[in-house]
Amino acid sequence: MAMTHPQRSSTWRKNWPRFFQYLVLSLFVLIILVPIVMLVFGGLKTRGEFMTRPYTPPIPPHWENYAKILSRESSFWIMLRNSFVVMLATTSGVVLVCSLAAFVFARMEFRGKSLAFNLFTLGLMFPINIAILPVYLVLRQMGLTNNLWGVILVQVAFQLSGNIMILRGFFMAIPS
Amino acid sequence: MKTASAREEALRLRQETRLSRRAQDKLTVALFLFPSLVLFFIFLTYPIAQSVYYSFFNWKGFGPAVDFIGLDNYKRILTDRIFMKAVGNGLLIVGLSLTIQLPMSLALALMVGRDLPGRAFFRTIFFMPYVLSEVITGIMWLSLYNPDPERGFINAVLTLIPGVQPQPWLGDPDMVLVCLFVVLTWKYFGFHMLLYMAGLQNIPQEIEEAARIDGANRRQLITYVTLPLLGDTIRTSVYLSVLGSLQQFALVWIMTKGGPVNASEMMATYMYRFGFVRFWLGYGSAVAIVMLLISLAFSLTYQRLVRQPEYLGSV
Repeated sequence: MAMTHPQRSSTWRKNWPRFFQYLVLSLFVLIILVPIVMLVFGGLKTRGEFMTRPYTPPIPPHWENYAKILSRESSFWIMLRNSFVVMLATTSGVVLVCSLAAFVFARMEFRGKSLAFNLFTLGLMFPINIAILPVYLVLRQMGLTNNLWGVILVQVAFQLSGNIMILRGFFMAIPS
Repeated sequence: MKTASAREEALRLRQETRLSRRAQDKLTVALFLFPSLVLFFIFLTYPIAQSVYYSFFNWKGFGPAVDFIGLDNYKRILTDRIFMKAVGNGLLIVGLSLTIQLPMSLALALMVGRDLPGRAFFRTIFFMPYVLSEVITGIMWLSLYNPDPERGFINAVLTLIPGVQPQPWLGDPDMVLVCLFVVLTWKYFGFHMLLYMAGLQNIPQEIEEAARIDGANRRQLITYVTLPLLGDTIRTSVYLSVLGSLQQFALVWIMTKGGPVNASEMMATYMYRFGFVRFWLGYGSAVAIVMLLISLAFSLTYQRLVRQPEYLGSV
């Protein structure tokens, strides 16, 4: 008994930073999860319940919200399809267009190479949040508003700079 | 006779292919660069040029721009108290991010470190908010910030403490920015933490071991070994954080629309208000150009003074 006591206090001294670490991290986990859990709860309530008692657990759960969203006549499917089309087209556009350009920058020598490359690096400093109005005016002239092409082409264009840099690095890493 | 001509033919052919080799290379360069250059010019260069042009006009978006007013739009922007307020708000968010959000992310990254049991769990949870869209985040927090303690979770928890009054949160001009900053931190600290964790992974363990053998304690280890070696990562995360804060739009627009009484106005919400709500396209263009110049000035100064990105030196 007399032997174990100092030993126990020393393990406590050794372990308490770890304990403190877990305490702080768990607190942050709680802060992260609470809003998300509220969101999940909210999804299982009727409109009235959500208005009057938004942060209590949904008892009984109203699954009909989900049934309504996933039903055949819901516009959710059209939106999902649109997102899917935009995603597929943007991703394949970015991969195709950027790898072509990145290959040229990694492997070929030509006049104006550094000029062209620096032009693309400048693109990194022109984010879409600022460009939204100038780009909108151009889309309007091209008649691409209310059109998925308007989203796809703009997204591809604004991802050029970053992806050309990244892919160029990969091409240069392959021994020719 | 026949063999000689065949040899000649072969020689000629080889010369021709060698010649056309260079032409071929040129053709490859042109063909491969063509799509990206076209997209870049149509959607980046041309819009900027056009907005510079429109920014000299008083143009409300109907018909051609004819009312040339020179630099009046710019004069008005730079003397508009609301725009200045927006710039100040942006700088305040930048300041808070650099002094609170990033150190916090760094501290958490150090805490999770390399070998904490449950590391993957914490990393996953902390990264979750970054994956959510800004719109969903905004709507979620709108409900949490509801001033009515019956409806808003934060006030509900606060009023459990006796003597604490429910706060108006987003409705209070003095509090709204801090409230938005909390949401931004909630959403983005995991991203920065992940950057730092990746940076920590790249520090060779031998260096830290050597320092420990030389008698460095935990604090010395962090200040003299870990942080200096994390320098590049920290510089990158500061850069991303400043640019992101200056351009903040979706979250603010969803949650406050820049209100109450412009207390949470950002440069991007200001531009949106004039460009897309009032449709003053000339004025909005001028705001976009001013914002672009501010971001560009920051990017170039930062890269000149602090961080020379590796890709620029290597062409």
